[in-house]
Amino acid sequence: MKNLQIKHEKKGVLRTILGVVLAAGMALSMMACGGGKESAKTLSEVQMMTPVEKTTYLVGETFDTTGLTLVGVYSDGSRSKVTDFSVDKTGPLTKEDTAVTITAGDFTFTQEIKVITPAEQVVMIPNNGVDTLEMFADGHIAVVGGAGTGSLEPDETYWSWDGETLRIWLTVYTEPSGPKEDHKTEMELHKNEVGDITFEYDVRGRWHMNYLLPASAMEGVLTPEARYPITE
Amino acid sequence: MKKKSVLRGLTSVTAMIAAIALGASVAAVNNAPVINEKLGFATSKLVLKEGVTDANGDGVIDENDVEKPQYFKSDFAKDVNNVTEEELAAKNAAVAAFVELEAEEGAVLLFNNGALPLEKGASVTLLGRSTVNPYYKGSSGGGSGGTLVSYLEALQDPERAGFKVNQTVVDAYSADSSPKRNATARIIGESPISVLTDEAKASFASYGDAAIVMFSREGAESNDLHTNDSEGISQLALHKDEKDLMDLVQQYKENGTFKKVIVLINSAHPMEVKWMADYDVDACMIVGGLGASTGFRGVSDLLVGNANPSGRLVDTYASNSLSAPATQNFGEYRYTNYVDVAKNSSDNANDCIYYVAQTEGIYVGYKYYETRYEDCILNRFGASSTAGVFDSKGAWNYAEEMSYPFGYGLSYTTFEQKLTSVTRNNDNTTTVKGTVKNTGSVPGKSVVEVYAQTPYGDYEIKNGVEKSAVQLVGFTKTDLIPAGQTVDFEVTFDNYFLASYDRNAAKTYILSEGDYYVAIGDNAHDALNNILAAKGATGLFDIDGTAVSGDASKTYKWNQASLDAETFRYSKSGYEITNQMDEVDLNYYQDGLITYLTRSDWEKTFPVKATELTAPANLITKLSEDTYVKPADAPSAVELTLGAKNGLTLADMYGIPYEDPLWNDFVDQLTLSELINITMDQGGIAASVSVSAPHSGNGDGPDGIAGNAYVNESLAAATWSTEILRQLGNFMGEDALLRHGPQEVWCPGNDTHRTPFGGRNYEYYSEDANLAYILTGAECAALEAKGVSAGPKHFFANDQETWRTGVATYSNEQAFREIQLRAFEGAFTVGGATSVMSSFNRVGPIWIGHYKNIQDNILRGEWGFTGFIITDAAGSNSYMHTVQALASGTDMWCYTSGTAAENRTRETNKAVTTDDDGNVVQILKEIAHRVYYTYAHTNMMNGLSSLYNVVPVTPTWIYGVYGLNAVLWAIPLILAIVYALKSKKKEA
Repeated sequence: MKNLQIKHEKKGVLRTILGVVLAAGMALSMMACGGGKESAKTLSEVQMMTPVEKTTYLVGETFDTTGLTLVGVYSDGSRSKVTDFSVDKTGPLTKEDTAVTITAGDFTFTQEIKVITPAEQVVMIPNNGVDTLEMFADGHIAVVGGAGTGSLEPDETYWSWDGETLRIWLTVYTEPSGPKEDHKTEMELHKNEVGDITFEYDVRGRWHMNYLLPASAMEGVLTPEARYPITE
Repeated sequence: MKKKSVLRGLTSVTAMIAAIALGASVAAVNNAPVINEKLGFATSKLVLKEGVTDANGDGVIDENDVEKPQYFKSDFAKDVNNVTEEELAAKNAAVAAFVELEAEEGAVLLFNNGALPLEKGASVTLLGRSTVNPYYKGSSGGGSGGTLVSYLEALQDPERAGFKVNQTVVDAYSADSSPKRNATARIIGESPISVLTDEAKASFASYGDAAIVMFSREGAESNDLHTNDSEGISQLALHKDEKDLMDLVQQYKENGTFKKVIVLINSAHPMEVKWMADYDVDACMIVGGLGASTGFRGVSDLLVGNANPSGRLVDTYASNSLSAPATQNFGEYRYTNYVDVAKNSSDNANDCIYYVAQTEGIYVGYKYYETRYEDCILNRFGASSTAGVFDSKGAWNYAEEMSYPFGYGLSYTTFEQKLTSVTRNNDNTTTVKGTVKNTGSVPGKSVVEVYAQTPYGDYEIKNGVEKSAVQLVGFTKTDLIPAGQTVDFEVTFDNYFLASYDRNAAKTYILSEGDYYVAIGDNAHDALNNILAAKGATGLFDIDGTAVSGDASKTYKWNQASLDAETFRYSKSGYEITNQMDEVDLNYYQDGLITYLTRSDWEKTFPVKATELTAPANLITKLSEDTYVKPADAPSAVELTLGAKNGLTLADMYGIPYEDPLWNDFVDQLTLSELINITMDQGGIAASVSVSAPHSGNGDGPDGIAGNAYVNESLAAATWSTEILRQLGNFMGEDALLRHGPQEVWCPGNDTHRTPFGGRNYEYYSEDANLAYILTGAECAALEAKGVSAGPKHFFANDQETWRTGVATYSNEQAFREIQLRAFEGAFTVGGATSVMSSFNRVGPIWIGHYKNIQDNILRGEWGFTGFIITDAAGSNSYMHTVQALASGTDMWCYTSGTAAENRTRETNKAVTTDDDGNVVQILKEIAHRVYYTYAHTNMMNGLSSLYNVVPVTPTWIYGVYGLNAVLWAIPLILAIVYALKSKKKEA
């Protein structure tokens, strides 16, 4: 899982002290005017309750704050949503962009982001109910999941789409940590009545699994116009 | 030129290696949580807080100034926070001895004409490919590490059997290159008879004291055994290569070469054994699944009488393994309109189009065979019809359908059991007392089995309350009784076992009106014959068809004047018990969709074929329903306290009762991000900095959790010994305690041997729910006492592996409560288990993780469970809806890291932010409460002090991976530069 590193930094100690003095002065003057029956609440901190939904971008996309919820916590314990914030990256993102700074008043947060090329993009993720195969646009496949299977050799584990036919090759093992039976073994793919693609694969030569690539995952991805792998 | 080519080649090769390494590294880092857990790398560390004083006055402020608690103590280590190598070794040696004991006490002697025990040091020929490829355990998590002793090593061990083994035959099997036994490919893997060449056969004469034939069967995770395999027979039947071997053995027995023939069944699945009557086999012993450990030493001891068999069958050994009614609906079944089901579902098709209809209801295992036997004897309900005939000639005949009944098992000695009293206590328990006399010539242990029969009358027939003719209610195992001596026994059982669930009329547990019988017996059939004798029935016969009269003196009878629907209406936790699972019954959606087997009409209701099912519209809707909606009174998420600075750490929470409001202050400190992280298992959960909670370890599985392997759980159950199961829990607890983890474990396995073919029967106790209830209570209590949160799995009705992810398992509330749920119940109500792993399957059409009535009302309500519910390996499974599950009682997603965790995190965040739903935040806070309450009472707390802060760390291996990649890429880069320079120079 991606690590979200959130840094709280108070900017400008002088400005804070000034703010506090001003707030105190304001409170005193209100009390003197008879308006201070309830002491005015002050902002103690701003918390990032939920981060942005999208943290991975293709080169050229712009930072999207959807999902971001900042909450102000006040001296009386009350809380309210903070909508007045800014970000330091508003233009097209580049590979060099790794973080966006979000500023709300005196509080700043660093949101890590990842900007990738199309070839680094996961296109589809068939699964067997426990493990997944992450199929990247550059044709390599990563094995992820509970079986703790580790990696498969990238030059022997890949996939392709020529506009009509999907093909997947995986490394076949004869026993958990033992010798590979064959390199570049093409999986026998079956399409069922509802359009899902299934195939059988012995994960690490140990777990006989039925993998499934749902029709919904291929929709709009494996189009006649599309070609994989994408070469940069 | 040549040098340049070499340089270019080297550059290319090293670049390729670097590329492969990079790919591997990416995958490894993606799987980092799992790797960390498996290899024991920490992802957080404890750092002393500022302000720690020089408590020990040595002038230095360091670790030694912190008092490190030992809440959970070891039987082997003086200080569990500083375990020595010697202490670890002592514990492991004790485990090795214990596993040997498990094997000795779990082996079941089926028959013996006096051939066993053999002479120590005898010259024997070991036959069957299992000689060199024995079955240890099925393929699934856990159960590895420690001492592994092979069958061959054990039998030649001079401290045990010390056999002189025919090496020529061993070599012949070792050289066989034909396909080996393979549970995944469902290959029996016996060697063809041709491996026993003339030379091998000639060697028999020198090793003819006995031929010991061993056959094995093996199941596996996600693979059931075949009911119809490549030979057109059940995988549990005798196969051609095995038959050929037995024919050869018979030939050499008849010509006098082999003086004795012993058959060992090395399987957790009840292999068919009736074929042995066709051969001159002298003795047969079920040795079960011995685990990747020292279990075969126990077999060695048993073969020469160093130990005396005392195990009893935990499953029925039917003549034909297909004859159980449950087997008629076991495997792969799709709705006839599965395309409609898939198209109307947002879930992946394979997760919603398969089902299994458990038409057998409560008649699982012996409850079918023995009940039908009684109705045959009493000549009623069409029991003697031909429906369900497999091996009977003509009408259904118990003796022809049965090999060995549930609870069966012999010894090298004989026993006489007597019943002296039955007392119905005032606390809804019953006490059975009697004596056991060893009437043979060697010491031995005896199992006393107590069964009950409850009334089956007009009310039950009218309201569809099914009753087994006998059901196990209690048991005990004696200590070693010297020959000729007599010991007393006492068994007290819970009258709850006499109650039946009435799903139609009373909608709770009832005690039926009529006559009740309690009986002791050598097995389920023997006990039933004793009850039938008390009822005055005639025409009784034994398992082989021999006429018997039964023994009424081994029974006790009383009469219940009227139906009682109140005594068990409330659980021990005070929760009202009523229908919670109407939706699991297909007839809820449309009358007549399913016909359950009823003993009131065997002929018309025995499932002679699998239930074909067309899903009606309301069922299709239920299959894909996402029930979560924001409640009208949900608070604002923004206004709920998160990230508070209350100064509480996890170290402060040991011993704080679950209901204590201090837990609210503790949980308030967590941020939303931490609350969500708590729901993501990655072999444990990540550290929570806000409350100084270290990362946790969750582990697998029933056959061993932390560096030691034990026998298959089904073999442990066959000991019929709560003491053995207590010791098992204790030793596994020690394994974890001395390694400082895991804190929570996915064990024991509590599903049901619904059929003999269940792929993971080896890690479940039995076909009988009450046996499981009692044994699991003992095992879980011992685990918990050592600071390990016992998490029984897979909750529940995961009784087949075929399409386990999402298969809809239909039954009715009586059957689920009395069979599948009962097997789990004791883990919580007796054993105090504080976690549970839910299953992949749906219960009815609803995935268990979405089934609030079961998770919150039955588990937490009726059974008083206060721990957390973790799913089976969830990952990205489409039918496991994130927020719906969390709102339905699910607490944690097993093995959910990488993209899957990101997706579930995103979905949870979105549920909070969309419409400012504070209800989701409150659910997450309650989950954190459950999870940390659980961990706060585990071995995690040993050594944990509030003087520590928890700091996340990057495991060192990740730095190693980065460094390795840098080096690997540097090499081709340098080579390429050199190559380029040389080329330039040449051109110049």
